[in-house]
Amino acid sequence: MERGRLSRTGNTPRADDPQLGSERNPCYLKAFTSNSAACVTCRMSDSSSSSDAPLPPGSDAHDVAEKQLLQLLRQGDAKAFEWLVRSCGGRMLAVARRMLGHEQDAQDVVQEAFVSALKALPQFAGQSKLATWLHRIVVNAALMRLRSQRRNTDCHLIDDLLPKFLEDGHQANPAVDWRDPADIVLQRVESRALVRECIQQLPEIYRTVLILRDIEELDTEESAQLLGVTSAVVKTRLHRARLALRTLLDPHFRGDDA
Amino acid sequence: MITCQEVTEYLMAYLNGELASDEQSAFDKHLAVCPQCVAFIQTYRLTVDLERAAFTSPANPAETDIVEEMPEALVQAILAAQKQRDRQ
Repeated sequence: MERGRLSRTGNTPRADDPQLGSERNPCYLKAFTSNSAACVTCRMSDSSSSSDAPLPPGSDAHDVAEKQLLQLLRQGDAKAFEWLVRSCGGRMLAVARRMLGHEQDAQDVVQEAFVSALKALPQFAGQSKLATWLHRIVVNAALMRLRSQRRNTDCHLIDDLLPKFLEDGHQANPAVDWRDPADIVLQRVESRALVRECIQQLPEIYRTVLILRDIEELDTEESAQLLGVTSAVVKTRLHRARLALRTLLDPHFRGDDA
Repeated sequence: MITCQEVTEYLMAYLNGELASDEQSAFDKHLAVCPQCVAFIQTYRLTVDLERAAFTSPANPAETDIVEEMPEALVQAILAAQKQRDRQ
């Protein structure tokens, strides 16, 4: 990869950058001017242009802008592609980092995902939002990367992390409430870092399901399809992953001295 | 009366409301007399909340759609890869 040799040119292009617009359709970038977090075609901020109102996802204006962007991408418009990379890349990189936990792999996967997306563009029917489609592509690329390597070899065995029970069915290590209220725990930066570390310690097949279902918010059926397993397997793995994560977090948060 | 082990095994189905009414009732009866299982369920729920919070911005916990800064070198690498593909 030649990434390391490339110079940093810095600034995100602006919607009013004449180098970025298309001669064929000079108005399309003017429409891509929202700070809406959930909208692919509205990621570019242009505070200098007061006429460019945000385009709420699902609005007619957003749909029109997305269709225009898709048309340009299908025509091979390099500037439209660059705009897509700059506006959507950060979100895709976040997904790849969450799934892979390895920076270089995450960046490689984002690159692969963009190339795959452009290749698959003729088959994209536009039935889902472009953002959703790109999200699935990067998730799939990350899953392929995980399948091709087994880096997470020093993780725990799942059985070691599942709750233990006595012969009569009682908890072997009786649960107690965690010492701080939920809202306090959730606000702490160090709690978040600890949770991320513990997620990385989960066996890979469980960690992957946990991230797909709980973090990336794919539904059970879609996760099952991507992973090539049944929905029942996804449910079982998700429950075990949560139980295992709870086991890893418990010593840090529990309210007694155990 | 169901056991703590059964509560743990079927906990996700219980929380998702997927149990039959008699199973749900058995769960509720157990939880009425078992503070350990009540604590377990609370910490299980908090674990799920923590998972989701772990990847949000502390400044804006409601924002679950994190956008990382896109390294310029990565942008350029993607554009270069695309140009190379176009030439092929």
